[in-house]
Amino acid sequence: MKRAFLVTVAFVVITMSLTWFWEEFGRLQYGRLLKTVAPTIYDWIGFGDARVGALRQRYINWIPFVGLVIITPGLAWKRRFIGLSLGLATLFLGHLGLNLTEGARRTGHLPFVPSLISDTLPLILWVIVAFPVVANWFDSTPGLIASEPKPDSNRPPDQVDPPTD
Amino acid sequence: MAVPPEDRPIVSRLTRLTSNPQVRYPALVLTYLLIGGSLFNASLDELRGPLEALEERTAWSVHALVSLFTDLTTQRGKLVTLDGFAVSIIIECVGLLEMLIYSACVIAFPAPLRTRALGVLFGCLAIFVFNLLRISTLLIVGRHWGDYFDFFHVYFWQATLIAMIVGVLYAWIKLFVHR
Repeated sequence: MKRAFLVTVAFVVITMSLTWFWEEFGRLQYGRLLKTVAPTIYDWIGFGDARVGALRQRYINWIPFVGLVIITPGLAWKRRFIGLSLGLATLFLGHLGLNLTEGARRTGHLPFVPSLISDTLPLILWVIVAFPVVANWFDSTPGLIASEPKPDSNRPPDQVDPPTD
Repeated sequence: MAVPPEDRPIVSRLTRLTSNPQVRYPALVLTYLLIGGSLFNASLDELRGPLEALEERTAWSVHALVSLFTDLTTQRGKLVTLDGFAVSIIIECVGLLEMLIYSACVIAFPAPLRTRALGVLFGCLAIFVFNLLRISTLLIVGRHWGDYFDFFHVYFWQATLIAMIVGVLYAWIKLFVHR
């Protein structure tokens, strides 16, 4: 219980600090970075008319991802670091992709499905990065880990361990 | 001699990959989201009436929650006020996105059908309640610390969206799946 409380507090502190940083400096700098990098990439893949920063309010989805990866207890630091790097790169690509969906936008509505995917991406990436920890969620749930044989699954039913005491 | 499909290296590798929960679960969540989101998007026009009713219902619920602590709150349609500070409840505020994402996470989870159905039902209810707390907090922040309203509006959107989903999903797994 105490650990859950501490993890929650850590998440709040980290994400609040990152949100403050984003609002004060990060958003502007990230916008500049996108304006420099994105047109070249869009030209390269044949979407030269895409508007950079079209759905900029959704670029903030990196914050919960970073918060979750940092606070996940028991995750190896190497995995945490590599996961953060690859995850942030994926979110950046997600932002580039999200801008391309602006054309599908209805009047007065967000492009619904791309926004939904964009909002879910941090959660999905976190599940992948934190899988060694999250894996116990899937323990004792029938059907999922069917490909991973149980330690004794090949042993004949009549072969049992001798009593130890 | 023909090699059975399951013995071909690429097929067996793909089978192994798709049965690995680290790949399968996220892929299933995304698939269900694509299906559910597309269906929802396609029926947005038909759902306009119910969605507007949901916005008003959410506004009414926020008003009811805040009025437990103060008489200074009013509600008209989608507008809730606290001592002169007003917020308008739009469709992004009612927690539908969160419920869709959460439901996809539950439906993709390897648990009995009944457990998943209960998970979707109670989880969406929990998200609705959390969402009321979120809007009520924003209303209080806006009334008393107006300078910080924009910051908290941004903060309570994305950061708490994922935290809320992970929290409710974890509670569902602990209470319903692993009991």
